[in-house]
Amino acid sequence: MSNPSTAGTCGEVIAGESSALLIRQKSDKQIEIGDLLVEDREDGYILLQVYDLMYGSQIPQVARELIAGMTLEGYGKGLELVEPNLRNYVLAVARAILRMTDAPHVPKILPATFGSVRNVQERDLSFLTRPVDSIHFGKVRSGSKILSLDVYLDGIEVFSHHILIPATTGRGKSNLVKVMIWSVLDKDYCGILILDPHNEYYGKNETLGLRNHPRAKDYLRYYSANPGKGALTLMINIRTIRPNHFNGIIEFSEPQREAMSVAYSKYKEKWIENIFSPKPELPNVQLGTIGVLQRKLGRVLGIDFDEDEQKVKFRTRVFTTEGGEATINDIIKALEESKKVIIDTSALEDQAELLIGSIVANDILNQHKWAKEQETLRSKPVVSIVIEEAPRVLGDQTLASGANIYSDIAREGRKFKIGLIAITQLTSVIPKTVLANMNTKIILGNELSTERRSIIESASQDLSSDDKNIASLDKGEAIISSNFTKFAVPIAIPLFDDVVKSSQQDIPKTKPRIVT
Amino acid sequence: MPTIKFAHITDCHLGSWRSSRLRGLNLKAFEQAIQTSLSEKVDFILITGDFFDVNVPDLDPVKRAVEVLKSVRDQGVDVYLIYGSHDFSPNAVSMIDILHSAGLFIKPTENEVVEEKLRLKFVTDKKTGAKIVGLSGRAKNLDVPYYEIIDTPSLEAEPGFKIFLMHAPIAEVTPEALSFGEGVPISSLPKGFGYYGGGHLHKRLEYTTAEGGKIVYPGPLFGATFTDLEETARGEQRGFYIVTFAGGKLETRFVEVKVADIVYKTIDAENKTAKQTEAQLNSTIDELDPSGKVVLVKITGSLSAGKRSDIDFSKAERSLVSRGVLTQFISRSGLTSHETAELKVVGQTKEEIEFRVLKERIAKFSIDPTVKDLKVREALQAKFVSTKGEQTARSLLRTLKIEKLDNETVADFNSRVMSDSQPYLDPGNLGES
Repeated sequence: MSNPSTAGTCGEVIAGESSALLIRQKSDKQIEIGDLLVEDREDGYILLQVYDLMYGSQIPQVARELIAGMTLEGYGKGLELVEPNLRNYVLAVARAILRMTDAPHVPKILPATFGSVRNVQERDLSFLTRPVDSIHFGKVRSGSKILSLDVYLDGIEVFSHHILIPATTGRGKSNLVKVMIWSVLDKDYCGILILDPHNEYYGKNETLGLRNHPRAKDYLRYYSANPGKGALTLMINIRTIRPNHFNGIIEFSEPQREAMSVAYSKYKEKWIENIFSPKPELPNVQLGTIGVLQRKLGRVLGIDFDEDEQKVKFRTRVFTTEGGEATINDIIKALEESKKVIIDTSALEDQAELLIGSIVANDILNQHKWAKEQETLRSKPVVSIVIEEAPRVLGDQTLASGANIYSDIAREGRKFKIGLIAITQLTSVIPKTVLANMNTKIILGNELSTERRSIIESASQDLSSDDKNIASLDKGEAIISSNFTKFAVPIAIPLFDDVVKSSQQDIPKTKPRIVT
Repeated sequence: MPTIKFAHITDCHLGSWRSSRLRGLNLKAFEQAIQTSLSEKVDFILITGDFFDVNVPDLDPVKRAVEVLKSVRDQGVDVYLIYGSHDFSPNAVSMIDILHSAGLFIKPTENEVVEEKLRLKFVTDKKTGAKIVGLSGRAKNLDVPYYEIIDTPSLEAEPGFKIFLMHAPIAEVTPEALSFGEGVPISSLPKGFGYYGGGHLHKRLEYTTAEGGKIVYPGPLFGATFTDLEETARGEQRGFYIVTFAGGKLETRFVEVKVADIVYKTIDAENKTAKQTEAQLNSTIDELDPSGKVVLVKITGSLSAGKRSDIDFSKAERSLVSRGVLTQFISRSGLTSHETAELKVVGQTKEEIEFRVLKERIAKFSIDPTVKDLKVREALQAKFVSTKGEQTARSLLRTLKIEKLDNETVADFNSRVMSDSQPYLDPGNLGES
């Protein structure tokens, strides 16, 4: 990639309509798909974005075919076009995305016919300022050229109004999320819960991760079933689990739900242990129902009943009755203290991961609802929950069997300063009503046309002509379409490792003084 | 390897309680624990912090503690003791230091910092060969970060039966009610130890690590707060552990120490008048047999008419005393009236009330939106908003609460208060928590 060319006309608007302006490219310039171009006007300028390219020529096609044939077949020796730059050229198809006068507006006029256009420069986008409580995403990108202009969005707004990150494998989703979270890791306006099924956010051995942040000690908590030294062991006491935590995580029949409800009202926090006891005493609940519950709960929680020893056994130490009593509260407290909490769920089954998220999300939503009632919500940080493979909880099929805490947050979380960062390869299976609530979409490359269509249809700006633009996004390139941006901003996301390395300053190391 | 038998006692809080009777009961619990340990013929005794309730306690309990520890030493039983958060001040000589200087116990906390790692040095019990090592506790969990830098490989490489002593909560096993998110992760403990003896948590707790080591918190011997006694009355057993290691197997046995019966009653005054509440208090007291017991009564709720001062608490107290109560507490901090409606928080202890008042006040604080300077906003955010504001206020309050020491001049005391408060008030320190 090269730096953007400096001033200078790179083309002229020659025809078209508001959504498809034709620009003839100047012969010594090169316009790319995704380029941001500027048509200067007396009262400001119009910002254009190129979304397609084609050939233009003054020579009829049959004549061009003939010329090519002669050259290819050896008849074209000495054959030269007179003023070739004038006769053959590139036409760029663009649309106006913003009009700047005293302030940025949605463009409602066309650029002048023969209006000359130039590559965008940093000063043209000076309205992209850094909000006080911001998230950093990367730098503004024009085509493949990176401008030295950072892209920040208002973190409180963006986090509470949800973020969708649609992309296929290998397009840099986790790199993007790491870059974003790194930029807010020591910020007090937000707490973030990261459910990490691939254990890729914290970092391990030689791999850099969020643990390398200079303030990680104060702002990052990491739970893992297999923790390294100094990390917290993921242990959740099953007595902190309530029946509603399973909503949308495991499918239960009505009798099974009722049985859980009976168990909970009778045995309170020991309801799960009772279901697994040798002789569960649940009035009006059939033994068959209890058997199915044992199987379903047992699979998620890793509980078996040992017939020989006549007692409940835990296959893993994650869900337990010994310890882990304060884990959920500690996580909630950390989030409320604006910390970032990573839960390594790589050793867990899907449903167990979602269950842990559900427990935390339920409690945090309840706390924020209470705070709103008490008029203290303003002082609380916005809390965002990173959920990978979001259709597991937000997909059509899942939601057909009832709402869950994640869909509740998608629907009403913003009122309580709680948002989702939903990562998915399959936007198309998330209902439009949910997508409509995701007010910021960070669109990475996607080769699947059905997925691109879903993304485009749900974007905050009109991206109807951006299909090719999205398809052509390279790794590290993205488009931010958000209610909180003036236009769909093309960005270049830095490599996380580079961010880490550039931030590693020489922090003076003090010799610990131990008082014994 | 011969059988190793030891006692594990913690959180004696000697010198706590204003009531001389409770102070006496507390001391009695300690004496009883030591006596039982000696009767059990333990090889050594472990004490995991908060031996005293303050760093310079009254001399009466100190005198008795010295006598008891001396008699233990004279019987050839070594005491291994680490300091707790209540025991000492890092800035001044504490009573526990004097006891240590007198050779009344062994402090297995010697260490050195080697290449940014904290290398702890084992003490080998001369009778059994058990290897003992530990980290003392510090106020406000300041010792917790030390665990991150322990040179665990050097400890893990040591052969033999090993004991690790700590005065810090283990994050993953701390009960919810006692968890303030500041514990030591299990993964920070050196692996391969047979016994991890803990102090600080006022609750009995046992946990077996994935490697088979036993983490044990005996909880306080008697208790140092109303809440402790309340828990005891509700059935929480107080005592210590006798631990035996034989044939590669570790067995723990809890030994209850009961120095008095505790009776606990609650009275719900919600929507009752002051007179009705007084009548209920008196009838509750009348129904008790308080002789030789500790009686705790907790009154909560909002009075519908009258005020707290309309209730004659002294009458109830006189009734208890006349019937031979050992000592009594009538807690009324959860009792409010319309006259005290401005008090919007209710807590069980003064610390809890203070915490909630601060929380409520700070929740209403936000940075003036006209402050646009990012650095100033971030600094204010880091110091005064939300939980950070609570921390600042609590830290400052804690600092301002210190009392003048007996032999301290006013000037020295003022200077100490100023110097301790400085970090929280210094604008140059804005941005640090």
